[in-house]
Amino acid sequence: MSQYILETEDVEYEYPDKTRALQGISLGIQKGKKIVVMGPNGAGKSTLFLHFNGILKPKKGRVFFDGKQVEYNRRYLTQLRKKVGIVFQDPDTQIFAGTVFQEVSFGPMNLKLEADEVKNRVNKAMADAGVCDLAQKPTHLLSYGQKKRVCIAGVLAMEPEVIIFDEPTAYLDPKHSHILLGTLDELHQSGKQVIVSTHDPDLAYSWADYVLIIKDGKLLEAGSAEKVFMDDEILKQADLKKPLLLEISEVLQQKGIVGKKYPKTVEELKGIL
Amino acid sequence: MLLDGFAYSNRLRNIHPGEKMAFSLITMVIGFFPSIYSCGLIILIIAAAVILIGKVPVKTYLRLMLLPVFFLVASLLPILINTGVNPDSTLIYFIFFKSTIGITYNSLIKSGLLFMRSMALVSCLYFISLTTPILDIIAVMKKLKLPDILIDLMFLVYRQLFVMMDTAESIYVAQNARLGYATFSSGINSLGRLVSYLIIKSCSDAQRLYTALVSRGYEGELKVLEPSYNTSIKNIILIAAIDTVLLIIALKTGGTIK
Repeated sequence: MSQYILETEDVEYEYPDKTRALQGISLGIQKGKKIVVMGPNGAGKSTLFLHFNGILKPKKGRVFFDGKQVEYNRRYLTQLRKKVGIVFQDPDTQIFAGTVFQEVSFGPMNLKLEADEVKNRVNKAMADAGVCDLAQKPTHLLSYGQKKRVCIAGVLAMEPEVIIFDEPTAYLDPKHSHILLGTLDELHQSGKQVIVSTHDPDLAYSWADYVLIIKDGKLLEAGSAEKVFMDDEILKQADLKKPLLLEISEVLQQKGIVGKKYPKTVEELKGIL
Repeated sequence: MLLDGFAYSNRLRNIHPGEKMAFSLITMVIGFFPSIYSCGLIILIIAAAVILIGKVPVKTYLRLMLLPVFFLVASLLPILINTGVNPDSTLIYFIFFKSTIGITYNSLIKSGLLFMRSMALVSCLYFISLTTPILDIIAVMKKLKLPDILIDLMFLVYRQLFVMMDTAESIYVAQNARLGYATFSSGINSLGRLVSYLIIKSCSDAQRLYTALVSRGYEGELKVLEPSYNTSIKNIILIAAIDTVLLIIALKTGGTIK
């Protein structure tokens, strides 16, 4: 057993249009941690994720799942995709079915399960994603937030070990972002490995155990949220803003108001004060 | 798209789509019999089913029925009005230069019958489109073992239509906001750009959709769990009864035209 669920080793990838999306990236996703991947647009986050479930094959380097090197044959990839699910950014380019129920049933049907088992899984996934009441609704009548949750249900129904969310809070209103974060926490608590990419440093800081920063197809920095966000040099290189809470607590520390504590939520900060 | 909305919200939605399609198709065949009575009955029965049971608003239904009427009237006129008719057997006629133009008893019956038959068949089609979502129809086609490629295509096209319409609409609004349709020539220009962008966008969307599908184990076959509907003996008996009565009426009264 490896301590990493997913690992890359000097992975390089170039798109057909010669964009060098990954330029020798080496990183490890530690088991059981809430992982956030950050980096400017075009840094290679999405390309990296597509390597995690074997959609893309590295031009150079190796990808490991649970300590074993990923093989690019049909049988292995089927197994890998069963274990690693990706919720893509734009729900309109992943919802293909007419009704929510049909959409969510697609994954489990591909796992060649019995109809009853598929039904159970679909119902459970829809309950977990909070879209039960939409089951027979046509997908084109859903709101953006609902579509997003349907996509999550579609991945949950396959019961993967790892779920990757590519910018899950993009375009979501604050209320739905909040609900979504709650869902991510529940998934984490139920033992799933959750990996999230985001541009929001506040979200990353308060949610993540471990932050990976990617730039120009390479790993720029990796470490605990506190460690990464306290490194001003790294933040500057990655064009990232310091999380507001961290900035506040640093000011409070300089003024000697609080000790060396790093609150992750507003409630924690209030508690310290 | 109006029809699509009713297909989902009407009260007949949860009836087995196979039953609805069978009713519509059998009734349609009966509608081919040239009988003014059976055709009239079909129009009434379906209107009653859609409006009273399906709860589609009367106004909407009438407006929908009016659509084919315009086309029909245009094509019925040449059948109704004949030239060179014999004034003795003509109901109304007038002389235009040296030929008589008028409506004969025969042409009146003929066009009236054609009108009723067309409306009866249109009613059957509306019955299906107002009560049964496309996806249910596709599910029935699947059960009937139609080729997978056809069914998958229908399935994808149906969904992508809405995605594309949304995209087209937002581009149109964005163009309009920048006066893209202020003059006729700029409008043509903008429309051209809109269409070409839609094609490019569709291609890249297709690629992304494919990636998303493969991520969920797609291996060349779009398999989804079809919703299960309960077959109702009551409905089947009702359909059989209505259609038998219609058929008897059609056979007894049909064939008034030689």
